[in-house]
Amino acid sequence: MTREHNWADNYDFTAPRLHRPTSVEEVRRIVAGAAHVHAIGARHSFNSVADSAGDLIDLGRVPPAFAIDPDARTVTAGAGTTYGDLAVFLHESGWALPNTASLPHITLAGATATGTHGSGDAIGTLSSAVAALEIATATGDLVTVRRGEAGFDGMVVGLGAFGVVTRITLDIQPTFEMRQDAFADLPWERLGGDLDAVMSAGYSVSVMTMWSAANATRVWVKTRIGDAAAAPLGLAPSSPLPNHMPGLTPFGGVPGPWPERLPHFRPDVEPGVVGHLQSEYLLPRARAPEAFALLRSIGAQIDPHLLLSEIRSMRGDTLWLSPAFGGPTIGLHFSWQRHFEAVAALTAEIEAMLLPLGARPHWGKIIHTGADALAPLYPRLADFRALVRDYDPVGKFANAFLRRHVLGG
Amino acid sequence: MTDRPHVLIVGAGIIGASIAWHLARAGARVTVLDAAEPGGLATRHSWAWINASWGNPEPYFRLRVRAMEEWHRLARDVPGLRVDWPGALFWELPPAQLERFRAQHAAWGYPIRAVGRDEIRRIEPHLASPPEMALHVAAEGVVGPLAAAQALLAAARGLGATVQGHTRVTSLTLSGGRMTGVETQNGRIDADRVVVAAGVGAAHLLATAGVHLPLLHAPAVVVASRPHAKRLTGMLVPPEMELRQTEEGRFLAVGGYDEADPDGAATAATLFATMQRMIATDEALRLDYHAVAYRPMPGDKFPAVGPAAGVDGLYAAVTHSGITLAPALGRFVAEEMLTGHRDALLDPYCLARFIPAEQGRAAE
Repeated sequence: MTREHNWADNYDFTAPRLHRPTSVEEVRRIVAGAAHVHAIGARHSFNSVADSAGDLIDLGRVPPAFAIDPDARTVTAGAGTTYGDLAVFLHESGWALPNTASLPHITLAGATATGTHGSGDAIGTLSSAVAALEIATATGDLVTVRRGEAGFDGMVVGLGAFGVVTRITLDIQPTFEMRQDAFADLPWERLGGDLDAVMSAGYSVSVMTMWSAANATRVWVKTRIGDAAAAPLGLAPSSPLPNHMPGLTPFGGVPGPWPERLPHFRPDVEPGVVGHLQSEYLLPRARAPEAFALLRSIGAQIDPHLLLSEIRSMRGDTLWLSPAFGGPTIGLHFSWQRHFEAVAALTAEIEAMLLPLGARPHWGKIIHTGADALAPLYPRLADFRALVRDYDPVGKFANAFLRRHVLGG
Repeated sequence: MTDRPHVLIVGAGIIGASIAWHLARAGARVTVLDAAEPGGLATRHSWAWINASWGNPEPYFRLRVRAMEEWHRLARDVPGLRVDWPGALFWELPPAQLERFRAQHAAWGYPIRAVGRDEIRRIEPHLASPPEMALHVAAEGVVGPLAAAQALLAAARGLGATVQGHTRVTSLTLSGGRMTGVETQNGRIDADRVVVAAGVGAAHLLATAGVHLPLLHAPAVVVASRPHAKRLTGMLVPPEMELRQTEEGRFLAVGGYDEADPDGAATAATLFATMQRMIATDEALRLDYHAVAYRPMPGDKFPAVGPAAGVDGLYAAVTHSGITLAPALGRFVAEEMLTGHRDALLDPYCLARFIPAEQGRAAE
């Protein structure tokens, strides 16, 4: 295989073979015949979660075959479809997703299998919008699991451990228009002291910040046109960021279709700073002010290596390995400069600092902690492992990442 | 309905049962005949270990791994089929050989590891004298062999298959190189496609159609205690025997057969005494029964699965390790019979490898 690396180019895949099948039938044959295999998405993970000791399967050439069920309010699509492509199709059909991540370039399967999320007090992770999964399991057989069925809550944030997800069904709602507005200089005391007021200022709210200044840099508020207005934050309207960032969706309160407002970035442009490194920690909402204080105490160490942090909120869910399992969650994201050594040391320090608060590292970003130390953060981990043993008894899908961080042993 | 292919399967052990279920599920009309009560002869006395260990060439290892995965699928798809995965511990070899075995299988991606005495004690607390080291595979499993065959047959019946016991097939009948049916003790049954899954009886039956399948004489002695309080968790493979405790509490061991002890009674007594020594119990075990198990084992010890050369409509599926392999072989045989596609994992196991060289040349 020619060198295949992730988007950030901080990881080279080690699998000797990469397949680009064009049909689900072909996926089934590859999975059945492989000794070790894993699906690979848009390569936007910052670690080895998608790697395999044998075969990689890129689903990008399997047709999306969109299917809307207006009564069930769901859409089904090929798992390798990007959120950007799905969003355009849905909007043109009169429908919308509950949420997107900041990037529309990522795939349905890659995002939902790693507990990826956007922001919004009332909205869950992207994984929580999954209504059904079709998976090519170890024997090559397709298994479909639906919300409410045994095992479903374990298999959605599945990290590829159950097989290669081939089709995904997601919840949808009628389409809508949105506006997004940026505000400058939110005092940290206000964020820590009245997190609820800040994060509920719109349908989806993000706080963009460094850690050593007295104020958080920006607040981005995305509002559905027609929703009741939240109490204004009383901050000055502003440019989205202090410096120009190419590829952002339009700000300044201009209404537009949700695919061009809900993601931070446009699907036709790769996001601003290519190849930066990312880490993120998701913790119970009530512990967020403590986390802010801890991070600000080392803010002067963090900021020289940081591009920007983003603070987001999400509703809790019941998915066993979800970063939002169990209750309302705050995500503390770090976009790092390519200072590999400093970032490795800082992310290890931050992880050790935040884990005691119940923080879970994002499965797709830089992560240090091993399975034993992560186990207490996931009350259903034993059930997850047992379910993996049923679907993958010999470890066809169990790569080094899964063994180190999830399965143990 | 008549355009559905009709397949007659001779043998209702685990292999025949699995083929029957897979064929019936794929829409074929299926009839299964067995000389005795359905459930099989070797199957009934199998130690029923589901594994991909050991001493095998890699292609056979891969087939066995696939079969382990297929058992998990079957357990989800077949009502009433119970499969357990308690893991296996073995120390039947000297440590250096165990280590070679571990290293090779680990390199193939098999979840096998070496465990020391303390961990062996945690896995099996009631071993009287645990070895210093052993290998452990947590992913290996076991079924109640007869119950599994019966569950598959019942599920096949639910899909329309006919299962008929106490019908001994005495010969295969053919005309112009094509199968036309079978002769049974009760008369002739027409069929244009026949699968011989008759275990140790397969060689004789295939010979009636001129098909050569060498089988080794490979008996083993099985000994079982009366049901006893739970003492063992998984499958144990010490040097002396293979030992496990069944779901109903019997200790079940298998050991080598001795020609000098044709009914196995003396061998069974020795095995039973060893078994008693190995398990820490408050009360003595009580012997229930012993048996000599006749296991189907093709001449080179690998499966013989595929169409019989020279006879249209005749297919054979005869193998040792039938319990491990049944779900994969059932699936692959059904697929090959109905679609002509032969799974690559079966490549090494065609029947043609047993054709003597001079006949093979003559046939070309």
